[in-house]
Amino acid sequence: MAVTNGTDYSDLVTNGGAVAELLAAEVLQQLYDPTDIRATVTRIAFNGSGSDTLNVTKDMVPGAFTSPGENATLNATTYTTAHFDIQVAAWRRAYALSDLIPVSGSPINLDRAVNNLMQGVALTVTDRICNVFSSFTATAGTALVPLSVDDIFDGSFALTAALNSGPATCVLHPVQYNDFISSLRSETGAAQWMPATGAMLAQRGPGFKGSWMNIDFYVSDSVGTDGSGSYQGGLYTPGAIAYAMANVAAMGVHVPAANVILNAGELLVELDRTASDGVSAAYATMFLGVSMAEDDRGVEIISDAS
Amino acid sequence: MRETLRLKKPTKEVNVIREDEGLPMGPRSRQTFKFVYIHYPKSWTFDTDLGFLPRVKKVEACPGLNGCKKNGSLALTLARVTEMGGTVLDPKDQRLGDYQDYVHFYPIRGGGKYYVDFNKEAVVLPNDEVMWNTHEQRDQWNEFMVHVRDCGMIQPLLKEVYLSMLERERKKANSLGGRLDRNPHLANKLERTNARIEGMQAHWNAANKVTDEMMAKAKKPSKRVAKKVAE
Repeated sequence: MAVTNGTDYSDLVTNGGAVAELLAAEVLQQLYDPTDIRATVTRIAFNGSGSDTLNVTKDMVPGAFTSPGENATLNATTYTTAHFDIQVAAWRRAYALSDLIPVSGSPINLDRAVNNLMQGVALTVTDRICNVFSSFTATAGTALVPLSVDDIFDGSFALTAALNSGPATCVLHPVQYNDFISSLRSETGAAQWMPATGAMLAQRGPGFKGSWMNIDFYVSDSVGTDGSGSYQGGLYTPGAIAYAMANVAAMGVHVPAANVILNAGELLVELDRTASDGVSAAYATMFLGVSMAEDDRGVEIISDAS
Repeated sequence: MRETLRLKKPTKEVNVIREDEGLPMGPRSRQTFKFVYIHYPKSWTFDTDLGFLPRVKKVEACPGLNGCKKNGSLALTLARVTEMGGTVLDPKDQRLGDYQDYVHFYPIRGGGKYYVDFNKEAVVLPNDEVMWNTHEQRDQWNEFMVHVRDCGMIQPLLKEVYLSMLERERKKANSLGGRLDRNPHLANKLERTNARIEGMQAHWNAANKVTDEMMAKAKKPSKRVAKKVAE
């Protein structure tokens, strides 16, 4: 016999006996590119001593001796150094959460926001390092043409010709890397039989992709484009790019100790409670400067962006 | 006594269902900065139709990058570019003609500016995904490069740079030819490379006929004869 007047779930939702949705216990991470390429560049210590700019000296290149001849005066050679500057500037990010968020039982809280801010340090540095690639005067590859193995060899040859020793680092946009892999898979000859060639073809996420021909490959979506619609990746050896991060602990004289949520040397996160608005905010501050240290140590890798 | 007040017609609120003014910025979007185009004497590329084109680079006014001040001042950065032999394409230079003030921006939804090259056009899909019309921007960019080449803002292509470009292309053709028997798919690439070599020579010769005396030449080191040592 058929049941009549049964109560279904939608009736309960309508009449308040059930809720339409519940928050799951897990909070999942969205896809993003956490690539950190700080280890591939040179870090210069920054200790604030009256300026926001560091002048970094590059020692004179050693020279071969001359033969002045018998009873001839030897003229001294000028000790010619070079230099580059790194200027640190503030980079900041903040999240402000209203009081209703914890009261409503949301899994999103200030701790999670602070953790999120910490992840931003590497992203910021990677962005800035990738911005330097277009400063290299040497280029390999062709604008609006997909990247090929030949272009990577061209860049590597340019580094060798400029007296660089390996290992080199190559940072490419994901699209550039896909084009490179497309070219690599049809490569024949010596490169075809290298175990590293097979390893490079394996799918991995963003970040470190593997070493090939003594070049460490990284993929990052921080690689930018130029006006023609070409990506501007970079191939460089240690010493090409330098960065400095100021010690944020020196901000202690301005920030009350009770407000400091995190003081990690390069990153300071402070709490800002605005009772009148019912909002708690976490403000993260870092001081970063990135510069091209030596032009001869890097090559811009350009290729089609579509 | 208070009188009845009849208000004028109210102003229309156009963004009720969807805020559609400005460029939406997703969580993966990055801040962009004002920029200046620069050119180095060795930065040239070749287009089979348009000939030799300068490869113009971009210096961004990003605080803390290559000496850029926190207020966006590029004075130090551009001084270094000049020191390295580069030419700065001042956005206010009248020789740029229609390309003057080439730094453009889209207002960002919620405030701020998203700086783009003059030739970039954004299309915002209903799901707020931003698509950039990259194919059409290439032609506009190449037209800009032709203008930069011909307006006298940068040094003309040096013969030495042309010869090194030609030599590089020849080496590429040789390398492709050497691998062709095992890689039949390289035939097209070899054909294109050979066409580029012919095109380079044709464009250089054509340009050279007219402007042979105007071409910048690298300075030759002066020849000095050592004095005879008295015996």
